Amino acid sequence: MIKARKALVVGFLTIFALCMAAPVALAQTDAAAAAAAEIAAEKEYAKEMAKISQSGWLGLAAGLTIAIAAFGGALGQGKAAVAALEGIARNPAASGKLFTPMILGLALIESLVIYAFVIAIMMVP
Amino acid sequence: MKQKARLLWIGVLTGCCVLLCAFPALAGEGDHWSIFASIIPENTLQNFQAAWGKTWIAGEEQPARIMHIVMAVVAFILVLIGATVASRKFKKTGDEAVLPEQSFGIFTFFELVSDALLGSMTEIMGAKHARKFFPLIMSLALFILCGNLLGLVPGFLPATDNLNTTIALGFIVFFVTHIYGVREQGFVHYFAHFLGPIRSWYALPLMILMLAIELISHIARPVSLGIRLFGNMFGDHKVVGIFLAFSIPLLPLPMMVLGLIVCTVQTLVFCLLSVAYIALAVAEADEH
Repeated sequence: MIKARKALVVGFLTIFALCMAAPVALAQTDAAAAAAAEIAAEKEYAKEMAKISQSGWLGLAAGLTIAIAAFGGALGQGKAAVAALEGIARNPAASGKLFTPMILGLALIESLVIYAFVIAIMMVP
Repeated sequence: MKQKARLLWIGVLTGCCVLLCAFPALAGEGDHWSIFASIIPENTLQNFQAAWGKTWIAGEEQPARIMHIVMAVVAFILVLIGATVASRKFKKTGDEAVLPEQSFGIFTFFELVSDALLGSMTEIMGAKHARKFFPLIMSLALFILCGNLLGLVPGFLPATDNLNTTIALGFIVFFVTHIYGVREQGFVHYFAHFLGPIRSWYALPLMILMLAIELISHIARPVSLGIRLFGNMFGDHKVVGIFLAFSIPLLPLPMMVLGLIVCTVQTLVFCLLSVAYIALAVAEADEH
């Protein structure tokens, strides 16, 4: 049993080392890398020009996204905190047991705000 | 003697932090600077980027970023070293094996985390399943904790700063829930749960609706796990960076304290949610 587990760990670490070494072994030559870089640079320039014309509306949208999300998130977290604090006020000895579910609830409510934040940062280049 | 050694360690770490902050901010093409950008030679960076190719985020081509992969490997190696050092306790014999440790060391840290996590898992899943899934959840917790905390050290990035890393972790949980659910309850029985509570021919519209809802919620689970962790770490890292840019001494400290809290809470939330998903999949209380 112990030997099987050791063999498994050794095998896993070997595969991991091979994955790490693969890009170095399979690297492109310098000339091919330079040609690929030129084509990428041209595409990049065209995209930059397109972005500048849209960036005003995108900035407004991103700002509104995060603002509304933060507003709703703050309201929700406020209600969770109020419930936890009232529970502690009624029964101070239970504050240890109330702390963990409160943190969990706050984190889950905050995760919805984080989804909106992620969308907002994807909008703004 | 121990006092001197401790002071020496603190001095060495402070010196390293000062040196790291003194490096000028090198911006590679879109890649986040970290201490490894100065250590790894330029050829290797370019070879890695060329071999891994381009990535696309939100329909736009981004240059391949390897700093986060490097940080993930660093976090992995740190956790591996920590676990190896902590497991020295198991090789002791006689009295030393059962007496608790005398001071706060790495074994005590592992013991604290294991105890808390196993307690939470036993509450949610029951003792038998908790023992079975404990290695997976503990590894996830340690990797995420180490990856998050590394972001607070100047010169390092949080490995979970990147959507790729966190969604990969979410998909690990996704595959574990489905594979173990099928293993526990059988292939047909497990997927019959997707059809909802009533499974007869006259409830066909309900079954179709339930199937759609269950599919969407099952796909939303790993994605939400990943995005939650990514958003928290990315936002926190960016805010600390902005506070650093003000160049007022000690200004980022309150934000870094908040960062410590967020790191720990996000690890806890990730692990508890994944435990809840696994518990739902392998639950045996089936009155059907």
